[in-house]
Amino acid sequence: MPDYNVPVPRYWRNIPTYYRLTVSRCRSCGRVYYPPRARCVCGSRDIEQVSLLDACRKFRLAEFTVLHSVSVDFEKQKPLIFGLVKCENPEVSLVSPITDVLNVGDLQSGIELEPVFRVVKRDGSYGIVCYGTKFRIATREVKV
Amino acid sequence: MHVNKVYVKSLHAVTPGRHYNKSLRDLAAEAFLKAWEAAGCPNIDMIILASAAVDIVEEQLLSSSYVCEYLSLENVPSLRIEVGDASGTAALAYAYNLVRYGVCRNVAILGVEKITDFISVKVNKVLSYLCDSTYESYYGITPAVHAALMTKFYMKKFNYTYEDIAWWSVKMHERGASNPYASLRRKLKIEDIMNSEIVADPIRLFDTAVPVDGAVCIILSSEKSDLGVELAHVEQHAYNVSINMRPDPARLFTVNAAREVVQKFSPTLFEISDKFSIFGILILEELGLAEPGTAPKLIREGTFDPGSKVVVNASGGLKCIGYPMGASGLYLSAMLILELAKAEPFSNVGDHSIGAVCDVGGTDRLSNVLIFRRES
Ligand SMILES: [Zn+2]
Repeated sequence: MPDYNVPVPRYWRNIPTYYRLTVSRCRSCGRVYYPPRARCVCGSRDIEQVSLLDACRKFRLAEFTVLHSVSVDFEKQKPLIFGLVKCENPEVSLVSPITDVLNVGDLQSGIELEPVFRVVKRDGSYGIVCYGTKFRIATREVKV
Repeated sequence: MHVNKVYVKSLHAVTPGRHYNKSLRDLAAEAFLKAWEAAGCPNIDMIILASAAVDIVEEQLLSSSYVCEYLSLENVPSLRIEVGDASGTAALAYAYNLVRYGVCRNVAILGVEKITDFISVKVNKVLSYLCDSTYESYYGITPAVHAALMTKFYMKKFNYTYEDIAWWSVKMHERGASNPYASLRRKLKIEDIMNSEIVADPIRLFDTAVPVDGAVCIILSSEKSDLGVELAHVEQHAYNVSINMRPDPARLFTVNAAREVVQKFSPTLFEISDKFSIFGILILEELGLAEPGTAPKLIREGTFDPGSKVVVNASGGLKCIGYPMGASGLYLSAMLILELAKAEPFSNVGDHSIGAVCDVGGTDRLSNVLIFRRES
């Protein structure tokens, strides 16, 4: 029995969220949700899926943590950095992986981030390679 | 409508820890049989198994039925309740209503977890299932990530240093060092906490509660018992909203919602879930025991030490008991009942007639507050 955990149909279904960071937006009141919802708190079920990569131009880091005690799929990548990322328009926050950090000291609250497409994990020896959207310090913020 | 009073008939807690030589069924059997025998082996109408991860760790569905078979309770109906790490208190709340409304006379609530069969990185993966599997765990996010962000926001909001937060653990280990129900029975200095390994910056190992195996059984009944403790009220609140969608990540909104009931009953004895130190601190503030931003200072000053007017976590909390996931809240409840009954080792806690347990599921997704009362 080959070892893998991520069922391919599930991964395939999630490609829009993993590759394009889709969020739910209520067409009735404009509220935005991540994780997505089938129904808005306003009662409306008229929900559209919007890619944050298309809709949002500005992402900022609100707070972050460096995770050392990782779970089994991420042993080779540790430590992992996660940030509370604020998107300005549409207004929504997400907890997302932060990558390409050469110096943790460069991460400050309020700094601008940009989304990047990256490998998230490899699912065992026989499973698929899982991709997703991470964030890195925006190129214009990097001091050389 | 006639309602019954709901009494604690008996209880037994197995000391949590790494029980390599015992199976989940062995642990469950030990807790149940000792509690049941202490109650005089009454007819049990229902067994409610509380476990967060039994299906994942044991690869077992219908676990409550297999536990019953092991106990030769061949005809006792059972079910399992799973709401993550608040499973235990959710099971108590459910059983409370069964007894209160006369559906059952005696209900055994059995909290079990057998997590140490897994290596630590695998345990971390199981813990990560408390986060959103598709949108968080997929990326490697664990509850420690949430707690670290909460801690940082809290520290910033009230201008605290990490050391101020770390004192929670020192105070808990002061209490738990003499608790035979604690898996970690050692006094720790502030340096021990601050030099322990980093889990998720700024959280270090001793700011967390270490995952352990455990089994605890509480039998609720409509009949009085020698323990003389009544489950007087249960309060359940939810805020089914992910941490990134919250107006303030450093708040426990579900706990705040229980503030009125705490004011109404005025308990003077508390056992609260401090799975991460920030949870203990925030529960004190959200329940109104401390003004916002004052809990780290008050706990360090000894305001809630055993012998005080209001005592919090005389057991040492989950810092000392450990973190038997779905059974955690039942351990806290068992400790509180023993404290109210002035049973050993809690004779130094003081004379209290009303106590409360506050248990939180996940990152403030739900909370259960249980009010216990000693009969005068
Ligand atoms: Zn709406």
